Amino acid sequence: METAPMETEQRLVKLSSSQGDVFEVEFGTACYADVVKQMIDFTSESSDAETIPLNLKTTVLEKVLQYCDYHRDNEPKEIPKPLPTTNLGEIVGDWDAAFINVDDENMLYELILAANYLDIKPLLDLACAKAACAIKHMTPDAIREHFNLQPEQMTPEEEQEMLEELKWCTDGGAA
Amino acid sequence: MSLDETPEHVTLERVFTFFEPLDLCVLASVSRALRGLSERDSLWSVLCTSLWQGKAFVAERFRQTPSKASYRGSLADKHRDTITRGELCSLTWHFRFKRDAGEEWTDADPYWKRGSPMQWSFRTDGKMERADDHPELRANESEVRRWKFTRVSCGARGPKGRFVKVGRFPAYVVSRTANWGWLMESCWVVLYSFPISPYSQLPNEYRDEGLKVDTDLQWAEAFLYNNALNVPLRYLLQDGADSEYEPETEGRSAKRRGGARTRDSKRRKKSSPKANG
Repeated sequence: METAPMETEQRLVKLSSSQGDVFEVEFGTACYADVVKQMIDFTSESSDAETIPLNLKTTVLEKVLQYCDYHRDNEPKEIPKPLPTTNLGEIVGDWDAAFINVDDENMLYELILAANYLDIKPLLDLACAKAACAIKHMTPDAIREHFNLQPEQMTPEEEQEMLEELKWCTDGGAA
Repeated sequence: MSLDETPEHVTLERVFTFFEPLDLCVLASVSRALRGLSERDSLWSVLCTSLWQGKAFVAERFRQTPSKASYRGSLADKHRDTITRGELCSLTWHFRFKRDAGEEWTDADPYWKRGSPMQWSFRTDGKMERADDHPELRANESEVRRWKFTRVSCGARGPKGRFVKVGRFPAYVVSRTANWGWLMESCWVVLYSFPISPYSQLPNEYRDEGLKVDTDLQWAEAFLYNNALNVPLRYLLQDGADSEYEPETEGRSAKRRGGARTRDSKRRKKSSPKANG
């Protein structure tokens, strides 16, 4: 990692979405994603350096940059596994809870993929935890609907085995 | 969202790392694809770590392979109250006298003096060793102390690993604690497989009044010890005296020794175990 002189800190970085929209963000924000940091051309002296193309939709990139901008100065909280509660605000704080409370479920999954692609682990955890909260406590039928799955015919043995499992899962933890 | 495409499969697995066992078991009943995913070791090892955190004892065979089977197995195993030779010998035992042992003992016990218990380890060769630096009660160690599993204590038979006999002392009865640790107690002493706090801060479960073995339950062994009598405990059993008993010593026929041992024959057997009426 090269040491960043002052002018580098203040320098702006251009990132473009897959739809061609260009975002000009501060160096520190862009570098929150290690993958982006590695793509920045440190040898370039000029401030109008080349634009870094990212394979993300405009709406998703905008959201990711919002996250990076906030968390470059605010260390995100570690999310415990398994989740102790489905009230994410209690775990990650209000800002993150509001940030990840997206209306559109596809947006959530796109954020997961984006965080994975840009290797932003805390965002990946946050988005995955949010997705987990949505599925937790669903009935098998609701989960099937959620994932758009066809019901499968289970053999009596399989059904018996599953009943067994639910049993030890529910009372096995009791002291 | 499709389940088959690889990147999403990876994504789903990450989502499921936040799940609890019940969530994963529900997931397993949704479809075969999700069932396969829900059983991955990567998911269960996270849950194992969380489950086993702060537990005083988790059997090595589970720790070595964290998985769904290990998670479930360890939950069942926390109730096992028979200890193996390997487990007994791998742990450091924190020892204290009970008040019932009498002041002569409790006054000399570093635990009752300073809240810091003696430590003992059991060796695979059958010897016992002090594993602490306390000066107290060292004179007792001039004689080599030996341990063995015994099948009889508290007037009953138990499976191997339930009772540990040290010298001629009343046997230690093995049990489990809420933190998955081991506890061994006789009417006079307690051994914990984990560090313990001073008595004033000791949870009720670990205090004398919270323990199970007292001089009423172990009266026979206490009586024999106090009177320096060397009588095999099986002769004191009041239950079916002709029930099977396998002697600890090898080379003797279990059948012959376990044969019709009625109350009448007990007295004779004291002097001559082989005289079978």
